Amino acid sequence: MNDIATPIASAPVSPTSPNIAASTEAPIMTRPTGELVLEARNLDFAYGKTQSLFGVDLPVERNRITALIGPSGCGKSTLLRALNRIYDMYPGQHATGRVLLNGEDILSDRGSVARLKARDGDVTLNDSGLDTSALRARIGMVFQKPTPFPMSIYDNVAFGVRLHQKKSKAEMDVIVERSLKRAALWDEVKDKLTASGLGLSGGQQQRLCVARGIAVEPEVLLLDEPASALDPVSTAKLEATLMELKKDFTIVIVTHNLQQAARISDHTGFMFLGKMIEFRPTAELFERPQSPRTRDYVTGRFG
Amino acid sequence: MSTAAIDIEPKAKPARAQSAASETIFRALCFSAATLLMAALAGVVVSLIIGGWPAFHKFGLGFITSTAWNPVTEDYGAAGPIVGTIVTSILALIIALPLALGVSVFLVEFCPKRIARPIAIAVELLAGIPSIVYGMWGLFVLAPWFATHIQLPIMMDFDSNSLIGRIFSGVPNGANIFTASLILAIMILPYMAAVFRELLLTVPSQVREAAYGLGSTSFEVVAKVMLPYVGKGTVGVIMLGLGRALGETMAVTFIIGNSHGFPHSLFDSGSTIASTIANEFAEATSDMHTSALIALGLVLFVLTFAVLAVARALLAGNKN
Amino acid sequence: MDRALRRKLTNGIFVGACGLATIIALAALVLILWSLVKEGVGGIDANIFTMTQPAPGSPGGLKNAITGSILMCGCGMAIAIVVGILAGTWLAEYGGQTPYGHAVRFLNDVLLSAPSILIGLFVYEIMVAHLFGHFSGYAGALALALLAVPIVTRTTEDMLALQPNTLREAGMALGAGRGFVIRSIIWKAASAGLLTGGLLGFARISGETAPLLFTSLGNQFFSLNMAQPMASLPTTIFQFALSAYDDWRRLAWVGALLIAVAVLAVNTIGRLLARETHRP
Repeated sequence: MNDIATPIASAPVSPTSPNIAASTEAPIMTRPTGELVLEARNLDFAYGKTQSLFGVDLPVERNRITALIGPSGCGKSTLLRALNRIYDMYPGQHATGRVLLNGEDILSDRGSVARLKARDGDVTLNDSGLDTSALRARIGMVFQKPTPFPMSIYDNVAFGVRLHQKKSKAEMDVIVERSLKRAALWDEVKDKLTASGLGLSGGQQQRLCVARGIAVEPEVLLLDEPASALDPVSTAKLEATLMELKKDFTIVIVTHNLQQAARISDHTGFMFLGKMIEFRPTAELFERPQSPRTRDYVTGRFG
Repeated sequence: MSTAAIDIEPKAKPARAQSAASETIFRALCFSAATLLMAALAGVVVSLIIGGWPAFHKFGLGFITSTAWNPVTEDYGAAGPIVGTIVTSILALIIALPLALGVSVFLVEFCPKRIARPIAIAVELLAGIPSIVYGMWGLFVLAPWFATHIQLPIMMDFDSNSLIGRIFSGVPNGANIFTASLILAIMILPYMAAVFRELLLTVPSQVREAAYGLGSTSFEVVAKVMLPYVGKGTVGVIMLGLGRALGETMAVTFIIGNSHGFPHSLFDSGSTIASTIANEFAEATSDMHTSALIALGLVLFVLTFAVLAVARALLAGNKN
Repeated sequence: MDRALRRKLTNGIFVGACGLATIIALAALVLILWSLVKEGVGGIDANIFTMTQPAPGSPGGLKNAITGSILMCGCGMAIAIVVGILAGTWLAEYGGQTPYGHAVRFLNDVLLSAPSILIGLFVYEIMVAHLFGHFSGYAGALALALLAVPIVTRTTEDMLALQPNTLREAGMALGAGRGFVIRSIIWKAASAGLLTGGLLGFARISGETAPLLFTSLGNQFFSLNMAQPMASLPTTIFQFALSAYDDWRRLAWVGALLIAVAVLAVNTIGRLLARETHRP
């Protein structure tokens, strides 16, 4: 290369250079072999004018745990929150691309399509007939900070179910017990179901949130750093719970704890500055990372 | 995957609890309530303008400067009540401000933590006492005491033509501009102390500790570091207190003597806008009388609005 | 006098002055409460609550005044709580950050600090001069409602804003609509604070006199009819205190004591509740 005439914009991008947003490297992906419950394709996301996700692909295999890792600000939480459309709450945040739930594109539900039609006047846009509220019952979410509702433990778990269906007391009792058992909380609370959810310890509250999330039998359960506010013992209990839940549910978990991702997940995606860098089966990603950036992150060179 | 407890068909109707209709209705209800608030305030302003218009139309702007008040000849002027309002409020402020500053500084800087809480609560209790109770106390306790122990001695010791004699002349019944200001001061004191205390608490502890660490005395920390830090907020507190005092009715009505003219001395009886309306409205003798009273109300509203708008602007800068 | 000594002296005077100010403030409180108790306690007996106000010289009580106050304050608070909580909810959850929201908040503060007598004039124009044609308990209740609404609105907005956003997100993540989340989760979570707002509003209006003077006017007889002029403790106290009769004045003190005790009790309960909500 001619040194004198090299413009700055085409300076070679070294593996550890931070100027990644301008690069067009394709993610290194090993797609799961099993059935995909949820899949994001070429997903962009922006807060107002600031774009935070760039063409992200995320395949989520049924009955597996998929982990998203990466340094702070890489967009893993943003990606998670784009999957169940919780960002709808905040005007000025929008996603483009495709998110397929069992093949149906959930980004084009009735409400958002109506808005797009109104804005662009395009009458050919098709909506999938999905109603956002019903959608959210199929994709559950557990947040970083335990958020028990100000009501009894029983009512907490029953809350989501009651939104969508009418159940008799007997039927609801069964659902509540089953959900609490699956969340490994039943033994600790079975005698005080009418006590307030706020009276539980941090770890118990988080498992209550898990029970609440799975009571509606979602197709996918999303967890955003669920153990970061918990002590090590509660964390271990939560991880064991998730490994058990995997039999019945599909789980996506965002975590900044690399050991946790290595312990419990089947697939792991490493993200950096809003892009999916590498997505591989967990053992392969940690033992033989193919991207230099991934290698630097999982060996602790930066984070 | 086990049998789903919930059958969610993509096109199923959502449960009643969160149907689109109930969402819209609830939001509309909340919005209506907020708008109702605006409408109420607008209503107050409009009704004051409409009601006071006849008086302003008849007297023009001279209404504000005239000291007449004669229901028989239908000649009304707002100067007496306006002057009374402003004088009592400013006097109350002069008395209350140093006290409020002192109380709040004491509570924040010097008071041992254990008794600071009870004292702060006691000061808040003072703020909660209804104005009519202040009024009664003023009329039956403060006024006679003032007449006996302050007014009479002054009148007896000083020649009524001397400067002091003239400033303090008046019927020695304790019902005058000065005692009304005193009562007002006690009323706005706890309020100003509370707001000022909160302002002082916004000073970051590092700043205070740095000042003390340099060897400053408490006085210097307060005067040279904390007060400047709080800055505009102090003026905001002053304006808030002023706004409160301007609108106070019952406490003043009992003890101001309720005469319409221009007060000639501190110990002369007078009137405020609020006390005049309170005393005369129910038995106003004619439409013009009523209109004059409402016009007074409009003047009071403009005054309080202006003061409060300034106070708010000054205090907004200090909200953390 | 060297500089260090001068600084010490100034400081000493300053500390002393602040302490003196506090003592003066506390002394005022003590003096007022003491007068209230001294003058009012002696007159408290069963008659106060069972007999209506008397003609001068005859035995009587404050039954009509107390009942009237309770009716009008209750009615006023009912209106204020409904409108105030809804308006505060709108500010906190929906439009509080829009330009219109800022305007509403500002004007709410204006209403909060407006002289109560002007509110009375407004209600007079609407309800006494035009709607009913005469003084009424309803007019009094409306005036009181207008005085309490801004307090409830402001407290509601503050208390709702304290609730963490993740609580809302957790509710919506299960599929609940925004309004449903507010009603079934957020209101419940903030319930102690909302109650405080109601109590503070009640404390304010139970002692208000000026606006009642020309809306409900007063009634020497016992009456439960709110469409007619209605007695209230503050207006009765006003009338009796300024009269020339000793027994009327005695009753005025009793009334003042009753009001003061009620207001202080409600205020204390409200502040205790507010402290509870701030505990982590």
